[in-house]
Amino acid sequence: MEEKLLEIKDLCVEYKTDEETVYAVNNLSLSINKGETLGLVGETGAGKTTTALSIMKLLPQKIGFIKKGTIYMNGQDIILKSEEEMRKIRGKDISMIFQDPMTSLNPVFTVGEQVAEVIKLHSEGKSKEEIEKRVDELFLMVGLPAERKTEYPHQFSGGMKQRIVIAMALACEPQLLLADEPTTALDVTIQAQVLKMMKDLKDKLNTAMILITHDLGVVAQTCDKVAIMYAGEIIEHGTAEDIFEGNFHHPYTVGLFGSIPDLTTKSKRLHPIEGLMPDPSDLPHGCRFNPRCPKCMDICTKAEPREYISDGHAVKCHLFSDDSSEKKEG
Amino acid sequence: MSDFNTTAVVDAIPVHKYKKKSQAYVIWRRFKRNRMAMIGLVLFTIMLIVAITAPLYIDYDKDVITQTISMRYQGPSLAHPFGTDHFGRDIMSRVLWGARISMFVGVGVVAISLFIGSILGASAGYFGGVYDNVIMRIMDIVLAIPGTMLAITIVAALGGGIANLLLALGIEQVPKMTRIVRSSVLTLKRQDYIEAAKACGTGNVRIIFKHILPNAIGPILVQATLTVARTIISIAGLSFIGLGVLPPAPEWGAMISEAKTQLMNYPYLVYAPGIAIVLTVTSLTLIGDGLRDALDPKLKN
Amino acid sequence: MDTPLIETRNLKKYFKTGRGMLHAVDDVNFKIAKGETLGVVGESGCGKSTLGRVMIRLLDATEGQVLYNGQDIMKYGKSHMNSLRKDLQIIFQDPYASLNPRMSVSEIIAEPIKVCKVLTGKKEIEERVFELMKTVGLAERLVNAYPHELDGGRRQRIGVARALALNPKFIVCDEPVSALDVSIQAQILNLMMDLQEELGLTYMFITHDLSVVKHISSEIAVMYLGQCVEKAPVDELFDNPVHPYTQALLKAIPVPNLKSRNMQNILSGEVTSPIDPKPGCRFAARCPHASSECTHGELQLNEISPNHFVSCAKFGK
Repeated sequence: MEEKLLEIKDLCVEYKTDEETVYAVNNLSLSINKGETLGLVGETGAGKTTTALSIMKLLPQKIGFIKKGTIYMNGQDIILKSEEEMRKIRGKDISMIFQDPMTSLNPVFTVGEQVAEVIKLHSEGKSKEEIEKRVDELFLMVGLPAERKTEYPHQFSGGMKQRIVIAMALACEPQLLLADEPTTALDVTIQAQVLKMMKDLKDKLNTAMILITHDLGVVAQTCDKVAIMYAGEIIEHGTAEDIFEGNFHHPYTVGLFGSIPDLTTKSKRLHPIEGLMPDPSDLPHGCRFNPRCPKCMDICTKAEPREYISDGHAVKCHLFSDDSSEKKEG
Repeated sequence: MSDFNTTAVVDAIPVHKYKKKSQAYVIWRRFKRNRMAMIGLVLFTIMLIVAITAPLYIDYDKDVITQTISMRYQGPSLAHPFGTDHFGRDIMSRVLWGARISMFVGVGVVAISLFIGSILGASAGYFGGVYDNVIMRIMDIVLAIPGTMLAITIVAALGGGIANLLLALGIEQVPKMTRIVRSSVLTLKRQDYIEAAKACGTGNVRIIFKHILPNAIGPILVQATLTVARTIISIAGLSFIGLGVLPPAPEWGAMISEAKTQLMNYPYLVYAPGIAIVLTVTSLTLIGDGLRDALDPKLKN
Repeated sequence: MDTPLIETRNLKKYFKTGRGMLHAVDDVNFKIAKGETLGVVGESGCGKSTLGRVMIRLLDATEGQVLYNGQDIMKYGKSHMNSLRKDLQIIFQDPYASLNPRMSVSEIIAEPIKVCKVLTGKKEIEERVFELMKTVGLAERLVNAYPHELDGGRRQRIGVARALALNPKFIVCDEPVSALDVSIQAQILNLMMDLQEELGLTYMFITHDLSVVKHISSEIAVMYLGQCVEKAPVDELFDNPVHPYTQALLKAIPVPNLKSRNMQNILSGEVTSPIDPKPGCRFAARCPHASSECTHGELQLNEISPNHFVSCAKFGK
């Protein structure tokens, strides 16, 4: 059995404003082993980014609250850590890459200074030369000439900026990397380059990664395990083989696959999921997906389904309840 | 679409459950819900009524300007709720009458600078190029002249009187307003919805007034409310050098500046005009805030 | 062949910048027949959005012609152009920035009708707004809603309704689905295809996503740094891509299928600057097949098979 790096159990996150309470993450459980890549897939508002921010303990102050649950990192509960302790963990043990490379770099510092800053924060006693040497190493590692470290962010293209952000994230060789839509803002050919580079680096450094994305294509190219989120819950998870080649699926997963414009078929029409994401402050009773589900049954509007697991492939849907003797095709 | 039969029946007279609501109605409803804004509106309305109806219960010649030296520096009493000034005039009458002048000038100046500034700023920002440069350099020149100097020049050239005072102070405020409007327009004009408007042949004037200015209303309103307060104070300054409202006409700012020398001995002299200025400015700020929120659909809840 | 609905001839659009001339659109030629869709594909900075704006004359061309029903619209006077604007519309990428936040749904949709004075009576305009909302699948109750209260998909439907308000013949769709979630993206794409069928619309569909245009286009033009490098009917382009750039684009798309896990042969380098480009093939710097013959001389689009045009010194002769 591989070693568990991160384990989240029954995580509930709420955003409270004067008018309403948004239930962003509901009873989410997931785990990731050392060196593994987990794809966290879902649409806007599914709670993917909130989950990542909870792991970093960076939820917006006074609005976002972890209501329930535990987040174990190397056997220690992150939720119980103080802000002081968290600051030591962030950037060293867990790093995060944000979606927009344009705004995640500070325009008034050179990129070299920004990478050096991260190293300085987490390695006391390193000499200036050592830090500079490490910066050069990191630049080389992400495929940028080290001479360019004296330039400012605006002198780089989007793809190169994202490389610098990745260099910063990997500066202290974290055990876990949270990548929040790291290639969404990039062009396809650049996206392919960056994805390949991330995969190679991850293998080299044996970093575990949670890749947050809405693009099943990106997941198929990079991930070992996949979790699909809908309305703050993981409705299906398993290995990449389970999700992409498995023979039973949550109806939402089926819908997601149907929505993707396919390069291989000649058919014109797409098969979208009808309707819209539910309002996270007013979630439907029973299964969250029932108003949009083509296979909705009576019970779906009344009771919340539990997870049905077969060989590590879990689906949260009444279709697979023990009453229906055989597992249906998704 | 699903209930085809029923739609066929009522097809002749389409019935829509949801009516289009008029914009003014929606804005008023949102404004009403804002309690602070309503307090401001009530306050301002009361002061406006007081100012307009002042001649009905105050005799200008007798109560406001007649000097009775024997009655000078009387503290607040039943006969004179705010006391009397250094010429023995009833401060309450003067403050009430002063509302006519101060509020008129304050609001008038804002109206002038808002009108000219919006047009100049919006057109400069929208059209850009040489036109923008010419307008903004002229504004720089006006801005470079100290406000009082400018007012002196204008009043000296055109003669005294409230109308010229309005014009003088208004022109002084125009460059500030122009700059604020222009900067908002510069960011707004690159939005896709402006391009969408152009794509169906919308004229420049309609684009500026319908699509750009309503989105720039926030900073404009803040500047406008601040200008009212500043104007009332600057009239006092001008009155002091004999260019503003001439004595013995009562004007809040002038009253405060007259009382300055006796402030240590008779502090009550400045209470009434001071409070009047604060109330006017506060009520306008509240209205401005409420209006900004009411006009911004994003803040609706 | 009949006169195409819209046609460009040697269309060029340059912008003056501090560092030289930016060649946003450089000598682009194509025709779109009535009821057809031309998909324009390329990465950011290839000039596809500029091309779309020049097509409906939101920008004036530097050189060349845009023929609408055989007439060059670049020569039209202001009033003539305004009367033509009804026929030529645009749908934008960002459903957040393309709707005026101060206007309600009904006002946004009614605005073009009022501006062009297609209908004048209050009642008629209101009827038309409801009709358009129904056409694009917006519930009536949203008539007084404001854009920020709605999700991206609904907003994009408003954008579509606004474009349809004047009964246009030709619509430039500038990345209309790239800001939307996949499930919503499919809804909007289906809607646009239905509308095209019902109303006989002609589209120019601009996108960076080859898989999206595959579904909606009849013909595809691939652009690189202001130039069209390959143009072919949709099936031909996907079955038989010839230009190295088209091939690289196709290969770079992440496919949701484990069998096609492929991280090899990824195109290296980045798009070079469109300012004062060097002569020869603009893709040469990134092209795996480039040689000395690629860096000089002007390239032409050659027809290698019926309706399949390629501009490459090595392939497609």
